[in-house]
This record gives sequence, C-alpha cells and structure tokens, in this order.
Amino acid sequence: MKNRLSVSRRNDGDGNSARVDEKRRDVLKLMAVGAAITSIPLVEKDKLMKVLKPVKLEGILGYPLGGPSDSQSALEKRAKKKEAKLKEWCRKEAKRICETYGDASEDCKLAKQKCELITVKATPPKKGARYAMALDLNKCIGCRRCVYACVMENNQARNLHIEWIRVLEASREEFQDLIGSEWYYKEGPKKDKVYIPIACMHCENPPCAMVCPVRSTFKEPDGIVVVDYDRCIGCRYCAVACPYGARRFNWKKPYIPVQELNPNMHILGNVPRQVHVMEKCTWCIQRTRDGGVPACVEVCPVGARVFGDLNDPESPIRRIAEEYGLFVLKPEAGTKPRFFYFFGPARTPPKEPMAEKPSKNSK
Amino acid sequence: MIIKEGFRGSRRYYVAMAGLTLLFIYGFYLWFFIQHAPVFLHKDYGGLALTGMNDSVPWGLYIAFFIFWVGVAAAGIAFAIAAYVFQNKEFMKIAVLGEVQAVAALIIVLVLVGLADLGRPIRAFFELPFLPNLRSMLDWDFIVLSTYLIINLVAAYITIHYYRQDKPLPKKFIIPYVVIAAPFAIGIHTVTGFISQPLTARPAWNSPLLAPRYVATAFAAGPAILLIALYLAEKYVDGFHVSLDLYRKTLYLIAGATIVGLYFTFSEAQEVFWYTTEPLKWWQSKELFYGMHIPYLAVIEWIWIGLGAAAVILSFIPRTHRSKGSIVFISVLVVIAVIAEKTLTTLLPAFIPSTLGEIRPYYPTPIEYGITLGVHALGIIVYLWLAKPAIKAVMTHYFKPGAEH
Repeated sequence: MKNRLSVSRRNDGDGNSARVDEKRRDVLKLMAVGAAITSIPLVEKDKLMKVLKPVKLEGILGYPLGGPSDSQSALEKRAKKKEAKLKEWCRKEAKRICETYGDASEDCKLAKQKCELITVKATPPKKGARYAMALDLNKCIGCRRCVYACVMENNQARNLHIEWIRVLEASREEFQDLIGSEWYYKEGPKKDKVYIPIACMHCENPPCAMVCPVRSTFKEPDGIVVVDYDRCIGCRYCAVACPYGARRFNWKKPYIPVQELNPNMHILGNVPRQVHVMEKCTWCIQRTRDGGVPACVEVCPVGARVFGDLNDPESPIRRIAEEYGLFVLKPEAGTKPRFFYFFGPARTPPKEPMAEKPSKNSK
Repeated sequence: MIIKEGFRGSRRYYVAMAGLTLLFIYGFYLWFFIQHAPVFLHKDYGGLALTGMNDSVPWGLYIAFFIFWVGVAAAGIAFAIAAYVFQNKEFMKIAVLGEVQAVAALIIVLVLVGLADLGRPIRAFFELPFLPNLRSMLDWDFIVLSTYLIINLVAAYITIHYYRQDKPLPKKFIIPYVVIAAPFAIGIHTVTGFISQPLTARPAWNSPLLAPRYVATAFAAGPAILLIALYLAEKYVDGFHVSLDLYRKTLYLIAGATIVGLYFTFSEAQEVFWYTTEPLKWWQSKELFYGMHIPYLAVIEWIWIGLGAAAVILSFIPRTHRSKGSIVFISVLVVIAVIAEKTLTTLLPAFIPSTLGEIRPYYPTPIEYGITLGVHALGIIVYLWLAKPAIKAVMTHYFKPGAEH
C-alpha cells in the first residue's frame, strides 16, 4: 500500500500519467469511504448520512488528489520524508565520526556541516525544455576529471567504485569500433588516440525504459531519463538492454562517508541509493532543473562538454549542431541518443613524450 | 488429499525427501541470510556482490537455469497433445505426469527469477500487479508463467480427481484444456525468448531465431526428462508400467527436436563466421565457439554439439529402439546436451564482451551454486510430491487387474 500511495507522476511518453492518477484517485476514494463506513459500529442514519455526504477527501487524507499538479506534491512529500530520514542517518554517521576522530577534527566539523545542509528537492521539469549534451572529441584529453566530479556531485558509492562515466581510449581512425578500445589507459593524452567519455545517453527511445517491469525508469518531459530508486526491484533488465553500458547496480550496501556527501540533492537524482537498486547519470538533475549545468560540464578543464536545451534556439547545443554537426555512437542500436559527439575545429595538443633526462635515481 | 499423499511412502522415499529438504533449507538460508541479508535483515554484509555477476555480466546462473526450466515446463504439453488430440491410449496414462512436470519446472522458474535473482523481491510482489509495464517482456513473462502454473495445477488436480474415482476424463475438461494450454505452452517459452531477442544492445541474441531455438531445444529436453522420470517411476512404483511404444514415440520427438536445435546452431554459426558480421556479434560468437577468454564456455558449447549429434546418431540405430534402457540413455545424453546449450552458453555470449567491449569472465561463485541447488531441490520435492498421487490415480484408472484398456 505504501508503495502505491507514493507512486509519483509517471510519464512514459504515451500520455499515460493522467490514467494512472485517475485510477489511483478512484481506489483511494473507495478506500476512504469504506474505511469511514466500517468505522461506524451501529448504522445510525445521521452518522451514515454524514459519511455519505460528499466530503472533501483531501480533508481526510491530508493531501490534495487529482491531476498532475497533485502528483507533483506527492513527489515533494516523498522528498521531504526522504530529507528527514537522510538527516537522521547523517547525524548518526556524524556522531560516529566525531567519536572516532574527535570533536575538533576537520572530519567531524565537515560531517556536521553537511548534515545541516541536506536538502532533497523534487524540482519539476521546465516546461518546453528538451535537454541534450554534446562532447568535442578533439578537445577531450582523457583526464577523467569529469568522472571524479560526477562521483563527488552525485553521491556514488565509494565502496563499490561506482563511476557513472566511462572514458575509452580509441584509435583516431576506427574509434567507432568501440570493442578495440582501451579502458584502463595509464597515461595520456596520446597523439594517435581519441578519448571518448561515455555515460547515459538519455535516448529518445530508451530501451531501459521499455524493459523496466515496474516502470521505475522513465523519460521525463525535459528529456532526462531518471530512475526512481524507491521503485526499482533490482532485476537488472535495464542493464542488459542498454547498448552503452550506462547502468550501474548497487551490488552491495552502498557507503558514502558523510564528509564527502553532496547535500544538494534531488529525489530522482543524487539522493544516496539503497542496496540492490540501479543508478546512472541523471545530467545532474539537482543542478540542471535549477538552471545550472552538470558537474562534468563545469569541471572539464578544456571545455569539451556542452549542455543545453534543444528547443531553445539560443542554447550552446544548437549552435554546436549548426556549426559542426553532431553524431552519435551506435546509431544502429536504434535508440536515438541525445548525448552527441562532434569533432571541433581545434584539437587540444596531446602530451609530447618527455625527453630522456639524466636523473639521479635509477629507475 | 494430494497434500497428505506426499507424507506417505516407503523408507527410500522418506530418505530422498529428507535429503532434498535439507538441500532446499540450505539454499534458502544462503539466499535469505547471506545473499539478500542487506535487503531482508538490513545488514552491512552480503548482497548480490557475492555472486559472480557485475555491471558487465548482470545476469548469471539463475537466469541461465530459468531459461532451461521454462523450456522443460513448456514441453509437457507434447504428451497432452499425444494423449488428447491424437487419442493415444498409452500417452493418456502419462499426460498427467507432463502436467506435474510443468508445475515442478515452473516452481523452479518462479523462485529462481522472482526470488533468487531479483534485488528487491518484496517490492516486485507489490508493484508488478498494480503498475506493470506491458512493453516489458519480463512483465509478460510473469503473467504467462503464473497463468500456466495455475492451468497445470488445476488440470493435474482435475485429472487426479477423476482417475481416483476410476472415471475417464470428460470431454468438457479435455477440450478446453488442450485449447488453452497448448498455445500457452509454446507461449511461455516464446515469451522467454522475446525477453532477450529484441535487445539491439546484445547482438548475440538480437536475431529472430532465438525464440524458435528455445522452443526446439525445449521439445528435446522436456520429454527426455519425463522419460527419465517415467523410467524411475516404473522401477520404484509396483505395478506401474507403460509400453515400449510410448518410449519409442517420444524418442522420435526428442531426436527430431535435437536435430532442429543443432540445425539452428549451425545456421547461427554460418551467419557469423562465413563472411563477417557486426563486430560485437563476431567477438561474442568467438567467445562462444573458441572460448577466447572463458575457455569453459567453448567446452560446454561443443559438449552440446557433440552430445547432441551423438544422441541423434544413436537414435537412428534400430537396436536402441528395442529397450527402454537404451532410450533412457539417449534421453540422458539429450538432457545434458540441452543443459549445455541453453544455460550459460545462451547467456554469457551476450555479455562477454559487453556492449562497449569490456571482458569480464563470469565464473559462478559457490553461493550461486548453493542457491541454485536449493531451488532445484525444491523443484524435485514438488515433482515427487505431486507425482505420487498422480501415478496412483493413473494406476487406479488404467491398471485394473484383468481389465483390458
């Protein structure tokens, strides 16, 4: 029951959200009236008439029912509850840290600070927006700062080494043959290689949303494909279906040290996940829905990444599309990704191999 | 009555059931207290990380055996069709055993995929009925499997009910049963194939041949398992016997299905290796046939081809048709061959190399073996439990002393 009441707005692109709310409304009405009636021990006419008179069910249940705006408040209610629970969890962790490291230590102060700052938002999508991202393959030097910024921004589990972004090192002529690429390069950037960061493509036709048996993954109206962590049943079908290997599973109970927590959270984004649920890149939904850009875009030292609204003619992504043209990886998968790649005009110079220097220590 | 029947039996029966129950309890303990400890007991240890699965290979031993046992469940219908459509008297005696086998196989399947493999099974129980996603083949799988389980339970119960009272089965049961159950049987394994087929992310699966391949090998393994069970029943149940002709006819079906399965494997190999194909598919097929990074996978695939061909060739030799023992031996070969073809060799090539070329060789861990064994023990317990009253009822109706049937 609890799970049903906390089902938030669903939009799977086929306009099914209104149907879900109606059905839920009818069942809730029946439940409420039934509960009211059965609570009357003897059927006295006056009492019965009071119950059967049209009442504002909102009064009984404590929150309004109805169309999309109300399901938004359902999500907000969930977010508030989650915030309270997270603050409690954080305080327990902070207490443990302060006991271990001492009250005067940096860790203790940082932990306590983070706990107070925790906010779990439920920001709705901006009307009419359709986000996309693009990456300049000529600029990317494979430094992986985007990977680590993402890990820190999105509260990914440290004990599971989850990294939403993967960076592949591929040959410049045959980079589309991703199978021959190198994942674990140790140094770079090399002259004859191109570096390809890959994360969730937020496809127009997402195969993960198609296969999720409980609709816990869906494409929001602003283009972001999200995972509802409280619904996910951990069947991993979406990980099987994703052609880009973008999904990460919490195989163990995830652990984040609260000193490293990012307290600016969104219920469908970077709120700390539970064991046995899926997660993936959310285009930093906690930032972008408040007008910001994802952490990877912000941290990239060579400015290889671009984030914007496809429906806004002034956005940087539209400019890039018109100037350089965009392509996607694995178009034959038929999923129509919205994470584009392009080769910009200027290549970030690759590292020249260091000249041999006479050194004191032998190596 | 059917429930109580399971508690009575010979000493050998008790020992077998006790052993199986211990196995099942051990498997359950591993699942509840260790693998799913963070979910059920909120512990910090445990989790599906204890299995050999990872983000690159998200499905492993559990789903592998799920695929195999759905096939076995589907093939029980072959006997019902032989009995009720072709009106073969001998097959009428064992049609109910096909239904019992379907129930046992479906229990294994539903426990494997719904409890052992799912990360959060309790959530699934509440969420699936209320907001299913009918574009997801996994939802259709749950619907179709549960319905087929109920159909077979009801059919087995009704059959036992009539046979116990020495009455023939009425047409008003037979006709609806065959009309409903036959398409459903093909349907459950087709849906299992459809789960894997449409995914463009996995070229090893992304071919319209996958579901037909599943159904073909199912009709090899299912009847073979039933023949083995029949042989054991004839050995251990006094007075129960079936004719050699029944074994022979089933052997024809098994041999035919194995030939079709081998032909499908041959066809898939040609598509990949004759010229060229999508690079990921080529690499995945190389893993399967040559075992580049997981040698055991190639060994298992060639066991399928070798044993399958051996079983087919043996079944062509007339001498094997003359004794039940040799037919059951061929059945054992076929069962091993189809397990080899349908479990890890169907699953792993789609994951190794993964969609972006990552190679993470998958080796099942002991806890996976333990839980899988426990679930199989549960299936055999259900099979024995239901088979006893079924055979007893059949004997009441068909083996009347002196009566010619």
